Amino acid sequence: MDPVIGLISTNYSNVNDFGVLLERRCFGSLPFGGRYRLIDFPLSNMVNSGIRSIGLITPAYYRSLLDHVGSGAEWSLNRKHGGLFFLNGAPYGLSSGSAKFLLQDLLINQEFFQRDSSEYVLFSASNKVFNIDFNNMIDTHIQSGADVTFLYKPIKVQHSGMFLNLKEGSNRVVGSSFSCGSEGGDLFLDCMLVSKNVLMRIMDGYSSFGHLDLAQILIDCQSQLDLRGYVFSGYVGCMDSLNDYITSSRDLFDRDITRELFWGQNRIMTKVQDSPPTKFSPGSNVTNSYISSGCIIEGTVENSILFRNVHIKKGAVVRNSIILQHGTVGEYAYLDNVVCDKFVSVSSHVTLTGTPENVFTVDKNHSI
Amino acid sequence: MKPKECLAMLLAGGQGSRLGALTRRNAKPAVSFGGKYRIIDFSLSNCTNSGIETVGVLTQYRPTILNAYLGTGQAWDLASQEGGVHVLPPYATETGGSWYEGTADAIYHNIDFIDAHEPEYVLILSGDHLYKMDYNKMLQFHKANNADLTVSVIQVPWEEASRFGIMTVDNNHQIVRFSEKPKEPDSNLASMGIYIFTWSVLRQALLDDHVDPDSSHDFGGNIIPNLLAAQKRLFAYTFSGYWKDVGTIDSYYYSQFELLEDNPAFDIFSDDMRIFSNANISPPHYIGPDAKVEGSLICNGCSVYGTALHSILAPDVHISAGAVVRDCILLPGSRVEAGAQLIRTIVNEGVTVPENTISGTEEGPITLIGE
Repeated sequence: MDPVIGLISTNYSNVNDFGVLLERRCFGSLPFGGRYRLIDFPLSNMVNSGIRSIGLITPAYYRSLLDHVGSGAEWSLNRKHGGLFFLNGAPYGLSSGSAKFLLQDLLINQEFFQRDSSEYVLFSASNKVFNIDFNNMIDTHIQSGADVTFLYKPIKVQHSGMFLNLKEGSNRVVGSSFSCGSEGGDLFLDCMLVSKNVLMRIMDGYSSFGHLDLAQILIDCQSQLDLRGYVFSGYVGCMDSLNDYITSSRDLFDRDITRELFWGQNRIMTKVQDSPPTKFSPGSNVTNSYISSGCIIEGTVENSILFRNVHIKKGAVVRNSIILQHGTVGEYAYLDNVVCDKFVSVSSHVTLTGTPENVFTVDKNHSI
Repeated sequence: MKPKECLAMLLAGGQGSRLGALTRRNAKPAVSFGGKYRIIDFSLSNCTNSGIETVGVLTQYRPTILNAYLGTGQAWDLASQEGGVHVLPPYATETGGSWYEGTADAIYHNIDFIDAHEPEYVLILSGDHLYKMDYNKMLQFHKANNADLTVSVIQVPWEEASRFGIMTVDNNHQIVRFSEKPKEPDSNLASMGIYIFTWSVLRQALLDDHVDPDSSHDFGGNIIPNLLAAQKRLFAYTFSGYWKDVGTIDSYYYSQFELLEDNPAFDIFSDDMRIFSNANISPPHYIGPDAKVEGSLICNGCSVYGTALHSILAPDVHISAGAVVRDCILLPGSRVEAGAQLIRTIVNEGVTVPENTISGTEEGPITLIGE
């Protein structure tokens, strides 16, 4: 039996800081990077690390998530032994910006943990983008005898999220906070390895406190538990707000970042859609852009990300923008600092502009 | 197993020697085409789009890439309980083993496979043509005529008719004569190499052909003439639409650029009869800050820092800054290093074109950078 099973939580939301992109979808099914959805990253990381049993806690809006993940075949999770398990989330998800692991989600799925003989559970949320091989973290956890190992990344700027307080000169976690100063801090990557007997004890003892966040409970128990931090030094794209999403999307213009994220030994897998290649017409003018398949480009595209099957018509100019699947930008339209959700149609000669700090977003299926 | 009405057998074992270096290490059906596709995608997608669920793929020459590409057939939605893609290489028996000696011999050696599916009809395909066709319509035609064999034909210009296998038909589309590359053709209906046989008829014909010491065990050369001589019911089904043999460097090269035209005769973008392929999982392509891309097809995983004009870039192609490609086809995983200038050149899979290479000519034969 495999020693580690995975658990991915998608049952939380953050509409306040995100706007229309998350109004009817969970973080897990948020499109990112031209052809991916955020769930691809934790799923691929776990599978690439040899984890073959993964529970996926579904959110209230799960249509797009299940459509994307399907049987898990793209991640080789359509298996006789283990595989992908859909776990129904609690009817109310966490709405706070930083909590990701609602205890109630785990309590109502206790059977998933009880049936499996694995000794460790790797938890991950689905709102951060990174490429990691968990095997080192797992080995370190086992060797240290810790009860919980939290994955974190030291950052040097102010950011939202949960920060770990590490004991001076060691990797012991002694507390947490939900803010950091301008000097930064040790950002929890919403990813932790928990020894299963500890998890089962917590579920027992806290069974009437389903509204709490597991990560917070564990940290609150720091006097009784051996909590450690494990540092990740690679690239992390955060998605805690719309601005984060845009910053992380633009990070993909950095070749070193895409090399680490997409071109290492461990690839990020996603649902294959089988679109034709992208067609550049004579007279198209594209620079510094990340473009998925099935697009038709007749106009100008700069510093932008185009998802599948986007059509940029003649004379149209798209700058500093993100256009999700099946978007159409009409002739001589002008877009600068715009995010268009799926199936948005911008008529010809329309001008839409936002600013880098305040991007103009267009809701799904809208025509302008 | 539920009996199948119609089973497809796809001949994918030929070398395709006219494609030169492109087939040195790779069977012709597995040669990259149109960026993300391989040539066999078109026939397999036609099967899927025609509701044919079971496809036997006969392999022989350099099958490594082809086998890996086919997998379970899932990429073409063919991996179902009822059907599947079955790779059928030559095999040994208690009396020894031998290669497939011809197209008919390849089918002969898989009579057991076909029998196991109990089909009424067998569709014979070759994996090296570019076309979209609903085989079901041809099957209806075959059944309506109570035919023993239906050959799919296409009208070719009279002056080219002597390059093809030509079917001469009567008013009821019944084939009265078959002439291979006739010097003076009396018909311009060319065989497309697509046959529907009533299985019981084909089965007997294969058994008879196998013991004929003078036979070269070929459908066009032996099976069809024999059936015609035996006065079986042979019909020609006229296909109207785009059909191209991509078996020569010239047709391979020029037919890909037809995909780039404004209203292409063969449209990979149309939702009508979609082309499926076993797509890779590469990230989207990246066009660099100083890149210039015009009139091109570009696939996932490419990175273009230089200039690509009127070119086709298959998945995971890299064009370095300062490199220029024009009227080129770059096959999967190839790289063009800085300062290289390529015109009318095909770069084979995985090949790196070194810095400052100058290749290709404005006219004359297409240049092929093989390895």
